[in-house]
Amino acid sequence: MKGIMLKDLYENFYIKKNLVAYIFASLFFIVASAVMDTRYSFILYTMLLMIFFGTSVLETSSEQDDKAHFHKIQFTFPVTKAEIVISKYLLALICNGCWIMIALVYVLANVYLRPLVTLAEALTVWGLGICASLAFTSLIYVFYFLLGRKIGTVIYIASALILGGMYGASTVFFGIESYTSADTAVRLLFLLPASIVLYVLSCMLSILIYKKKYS
Amino acid sequence: MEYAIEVRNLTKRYKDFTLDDISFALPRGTVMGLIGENGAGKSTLINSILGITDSKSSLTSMLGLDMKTHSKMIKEDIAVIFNDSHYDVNLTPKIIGHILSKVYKNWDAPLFSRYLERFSLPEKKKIKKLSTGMRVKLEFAAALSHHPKLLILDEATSGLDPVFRDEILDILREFTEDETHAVLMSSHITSDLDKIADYIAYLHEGKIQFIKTYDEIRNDYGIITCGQELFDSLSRDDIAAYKKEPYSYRVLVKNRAKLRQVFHDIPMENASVEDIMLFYVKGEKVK
Repeated sequence: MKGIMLKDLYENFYIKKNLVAYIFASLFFIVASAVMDTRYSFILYTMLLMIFFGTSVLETSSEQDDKAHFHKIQFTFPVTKAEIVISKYLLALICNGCWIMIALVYVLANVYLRPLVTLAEALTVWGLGICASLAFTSLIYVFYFLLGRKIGTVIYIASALILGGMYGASTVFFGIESYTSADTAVRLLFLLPASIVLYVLSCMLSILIYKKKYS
Repeated sequence: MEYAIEVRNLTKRYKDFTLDDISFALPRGTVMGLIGENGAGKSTLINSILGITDSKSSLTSMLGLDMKTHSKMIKEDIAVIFNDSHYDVNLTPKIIGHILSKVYKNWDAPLFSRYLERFSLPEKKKIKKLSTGMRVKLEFAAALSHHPKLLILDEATSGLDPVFRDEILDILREFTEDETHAVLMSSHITSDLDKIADYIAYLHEGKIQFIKTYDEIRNDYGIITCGQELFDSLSRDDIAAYKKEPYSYRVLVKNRAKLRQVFHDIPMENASVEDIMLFYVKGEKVK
């Protein structure tokens, strides 16, 4: 499993065009977050950081794998089909973890460097971001394994747009406070375990799909 | 006898193709050439043996272990080589070595470096800048560097020029010097098999037509060019296939020694593996 994860990492961060895409997205994020310093944009950027950056690992590696027909050689490795899928989920978890930590730095910066939100509010948004990133990865990965890279990518982009739209609509209908309120913080106690369960279920479903696909 | 591969009653059904009840055994220390036309089922057979695609069989064992229960352990000791690299073309041999060191428990990094040197493969050159031949060499270097006991080659030499192919055959000869090693090699290029194979398995439309030692093929098969009269007098059991030509028959016979006793002075050509394959595919069968 380590070998497959390492290969995915190389494909994500060693191949120039992919690395450039990550650098470009990060620069865009830094500039955008520096220019726009509203509570609305703070929540949006925190979510963006955690949800989309972590999930992009599979998108990038499956694009490279499709081009090289890597699955052909991968099946000759001493790994089971279930382990191949688990390695993808583990790597996503690691990458999500990294982005979650980067997001933590970002939210703390918004508490202490330019007081935009309180610590409690910042951590609530950050907690929501963790749940959202796990749920989004769970959903998108199943589509990738079920429908392949091309349709998976379309769904990835469509979901990103829908989520963006939903965020905009929710701030209009429920107010921006709904993301930072104490009630939301309490709800996290249920949302966090639920998103972890969803992640595990998604992994199990993807294993079944993958086995069926390559039977 | 200890077998590197033992397969019994392997069947794989697709909508339009069936790999039908395949049984064979590959003894250790030998090379088996798997021949057959495009679509005969060679790759399907290899994929089925490796468990890449699901199939039904009463036994699929490799290196003495059951593939159903010990597939991971078995795959530590086998290497499969295809006719092109299946790694991303932006990666380098050095990176591939690094990745594979995390894939195989017994990965031998110094050995991999020695193979790269031997094949003149620059370790920091991207795969996309390597020629087809060099890519296949990289596959060989990667395959041999975890000390496999069984090599499976799926059309690995097709697309290579004769000099490269000859070099590859040398590597395979070296590999099988160890009596515990074995090679299963599917190829269109039957002249390669003439040089190296101990056994030939011929697959046609999903069925094994025969499995013979190379010596048996050389001793048993022959080609006779004859007229109608001689053709009629040949025992039907001795004719593997024939081709009707404008004024004669070309007959692939499968009992050369016996025929020689009956027809002392009949001219009989040696049949190469390619001849046999062409007769089976294009020739007619006696009824």
